[in-house]
Amino acid sequence: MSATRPEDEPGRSGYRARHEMRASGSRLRPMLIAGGVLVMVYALVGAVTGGDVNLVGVPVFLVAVLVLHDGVFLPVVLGVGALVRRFVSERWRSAVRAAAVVSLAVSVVATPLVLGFGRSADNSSILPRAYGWGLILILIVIWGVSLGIRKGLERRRRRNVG
Amino acid sequence: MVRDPGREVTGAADPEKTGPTDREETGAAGHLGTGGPEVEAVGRRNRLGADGLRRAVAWLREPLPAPPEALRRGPLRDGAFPSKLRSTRLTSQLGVALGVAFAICFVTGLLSHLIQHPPFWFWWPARPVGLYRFTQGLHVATGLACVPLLGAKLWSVYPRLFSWPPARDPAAALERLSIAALVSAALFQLVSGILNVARWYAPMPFFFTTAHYWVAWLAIGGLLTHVGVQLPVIREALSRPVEYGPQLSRRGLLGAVGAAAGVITVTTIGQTVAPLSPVSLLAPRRPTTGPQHLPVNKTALAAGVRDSALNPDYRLLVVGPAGRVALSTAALAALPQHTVVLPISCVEGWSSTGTWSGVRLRDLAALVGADPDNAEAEVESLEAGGRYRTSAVATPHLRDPSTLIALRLRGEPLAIDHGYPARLIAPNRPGVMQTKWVGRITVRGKT
Repeated sequence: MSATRPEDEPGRSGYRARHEMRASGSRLRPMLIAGGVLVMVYALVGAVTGGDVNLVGVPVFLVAVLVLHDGVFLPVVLGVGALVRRFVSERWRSAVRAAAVVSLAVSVVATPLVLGFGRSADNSSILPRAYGWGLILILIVIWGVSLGIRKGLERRRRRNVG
Repeated sequence: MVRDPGREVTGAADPEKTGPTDREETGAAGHLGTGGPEVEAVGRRNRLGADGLRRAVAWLREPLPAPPEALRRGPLRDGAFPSKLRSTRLTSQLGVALGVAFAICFVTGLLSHLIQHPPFWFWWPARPVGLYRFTQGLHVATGLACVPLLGAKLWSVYPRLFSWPPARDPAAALERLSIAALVSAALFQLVSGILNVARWYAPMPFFFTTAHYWVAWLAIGGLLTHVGVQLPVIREALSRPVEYGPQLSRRGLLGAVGAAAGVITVTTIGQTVAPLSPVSLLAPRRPTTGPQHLPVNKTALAAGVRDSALNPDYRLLVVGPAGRVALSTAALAALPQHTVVLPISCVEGWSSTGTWSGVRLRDLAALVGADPDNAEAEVESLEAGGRYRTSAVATPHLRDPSTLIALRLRGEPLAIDHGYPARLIAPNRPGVMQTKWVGRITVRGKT
């Protein structure tokens, strides 16, 4: 990748294209903003007049997910990140972080399945698997692959140097 | 205001048609007096409107008083977030991916809504038979893959939640409010969607379907506004040359996020892509698990139809322009039988293919004197109530020879949980519209 900005080279086709894009952007922006506001107003009007939306439950849940995410979930994630920085040696840190990111995302999806509250006595086709074991197996694979890749990279680097 | 400098304003003989022009708006035109009182009034009203707008914009840009510095503690401190991984470029790249994913979810979700609640202008074909299976599978898979994308995106902008001062002017305060609406709506959609595919309804104090639908509009509106506001920042961030450093780099993090989306997809998509079922350890359904190797959404017990469905006096009532017929199970079995291979495609994202045998709906329509090529039907279940007790069969589906009132699955009589004694099975439709335990069919000719 060159160190100069493409803008510094007016002869390139990207230069003109980008400037044309900017010119059209000056009209695009207010359209996007106004359009978005209109769509949000439509959402509110539709939800209120539709008659089928719980006008207490939905706002409560909207606020709850925001507060729980920003006030509990993310601070805990940041805390774990700080622990990784504090206790994991630099050599392994990237691999641990990557594995932790993937594990966290998979666990978010898996948690309601593992808890299994959706199961029903008269319908065995709902949640038919052993999700707890499935999650454990997936986490093992994630950490194995991530740390394995780290080791492999190291070995290759050592070979290249030697 | 649309500028139209090329417009001829001397044609003031027809003031209504001329209307307010750019020059009138700015008050610079000297011809106003010649246009008669109407033009003057329009010009004045317009000036007032423009003034009001300008005042409103000025007020939005009025600086707000700075909050006391003493409040600036904890995460509000300078440098409270040490990670060097956060950058506008990372946020922009995650944002673009998330924008595409949300657009896919919105379009496929809206489509599913329109199929189930068709307005007068909407038309949905019966072919290709697996189109809905694809769009709804894509809807759920994309939504699940959004989990790491949204997580990383919110992480990357988290410090901005604590920016100081909280808002410089009312415009910034409004923008932050719209961001809160967007983040809230996005989290709402993912969390409620995940709970719904896991069929865990207790944490949701509302009916899922309509809430998920209207909050989707909120999310997409918030997204459009957000992109509009941030457009210059996004363009700048994505066109700037990349600086390389020795970090778990931005690319490393993007790779991890992508890997997370991939793992989630592979471990859940088997609920609709049957060959991947063995590795989809987190799929809420297995396409072959259920009575007669097919999953069930609502059982006969849950629907409260066990007794009426098993009653030997059961009759399928078919009503049409020429009258009505009441068909017993034996009478239904005596009509010409056809076998089709069609999927059940659930709104929850799973699907499974079945081999169904039964009577063509178009044959039943003809039996009661309707033109099967130009009719619609309403199919009612034996259920006493519930949102999905009835379903409408539009002309393309009624006409289609593969639309059956099925009596058998895989060669055996339907299991009670699959809709014994008779169920509707039609191509390219959501599972909730494949009415089970059919008790009555009303066919109407279209004019």
